[in-house]
Amino acid sequence: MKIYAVVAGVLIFWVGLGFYTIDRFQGNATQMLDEIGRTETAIFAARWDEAAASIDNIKRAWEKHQRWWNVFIDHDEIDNIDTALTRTEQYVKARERVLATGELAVLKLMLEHIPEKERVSLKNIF
Amino acid sequence: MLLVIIRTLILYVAVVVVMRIMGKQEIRQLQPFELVVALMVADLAAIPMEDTGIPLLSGLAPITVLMAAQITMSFISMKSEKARGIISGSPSVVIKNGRIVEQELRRLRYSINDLLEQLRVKNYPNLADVEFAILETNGQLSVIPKSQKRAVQPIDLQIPTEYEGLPLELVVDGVVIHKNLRLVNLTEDWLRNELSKLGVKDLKKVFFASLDTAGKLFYQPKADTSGGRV
Repeated sequence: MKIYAVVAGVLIFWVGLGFYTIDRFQGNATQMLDEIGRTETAIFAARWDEAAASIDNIKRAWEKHQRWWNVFIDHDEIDNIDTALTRTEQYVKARERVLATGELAVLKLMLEHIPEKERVSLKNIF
Repeated sequence: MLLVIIRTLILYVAVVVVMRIMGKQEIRQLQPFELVVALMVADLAAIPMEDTGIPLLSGLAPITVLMAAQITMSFISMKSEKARGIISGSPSVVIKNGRIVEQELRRLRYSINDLLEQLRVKNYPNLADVEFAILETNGQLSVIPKSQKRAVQPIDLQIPTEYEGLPLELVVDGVVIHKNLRLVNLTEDWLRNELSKLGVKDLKKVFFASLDTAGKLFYQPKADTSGGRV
């Protein structure tokens, strides 16, 4: 009977971890997307110092969340986010409005895409 | 590179543990659903092993879920005859009372050549010697020969036989198996004494020793490095 308890435990653990992961991805992404929204507003208003500070906030948040994301997400996707973040930072430093907003849009898409990809839906299953 | 080595070792341990938990079925003749699990586990372990870009959990999670599914399937097929029929199928009689059941062979898409080949493998080159042949759910053919063609057994000749149990291993590669000695209420001193009567002074130089149910001690010394006996 012990083996069936182990089986039940394993299944409960994975299902629980699955739901927790989706929730955490969503929470982390929302936090960073909010900050990206503030960065965008600052760039459009040409408040470059404010945009740079906002990028720093995104980087700090990403460094914190990245450790968790690395365990579950394809490492290539993590690298893509790192690359987009570094590019945006440089464009903001160079005060390149078009390039910075373009790269921010890519970053936004990637951050929205990962929690979306993990969600339990017919689209993702099939 | 180091990452690959560490990930390989982790996945190797995980697969060994999972196969042990799934039980002996996974290493004997496999049922169809067990074969599927064995193939999938091997593949799931290999992918994250060679690609460090894939999180280790992407391999470990499906492997353990497959283990859980396999144990559940085994439990269901153990408890329910009907489920067993659906999951593992049922044995098929392909030779009945000495006659090939053609309809069954056609249904199984099992050619007469396959049948003859399997009979030869089982040491029955002549189909006329077979009373029953049953194709088991794991793909093995069980053969029951005609009573006149089966091997003679002591009971046929009314010869009395003595009990034959399992011989106990007492020394394996120079190491005394104390657990087995205790089972037959013997001690290492007794073993040492018996072996010294046979000219063996040091137990470490014994490669293998066993005791059969008639109380006969068998031993084989270790070969020395020059290729001779110690």
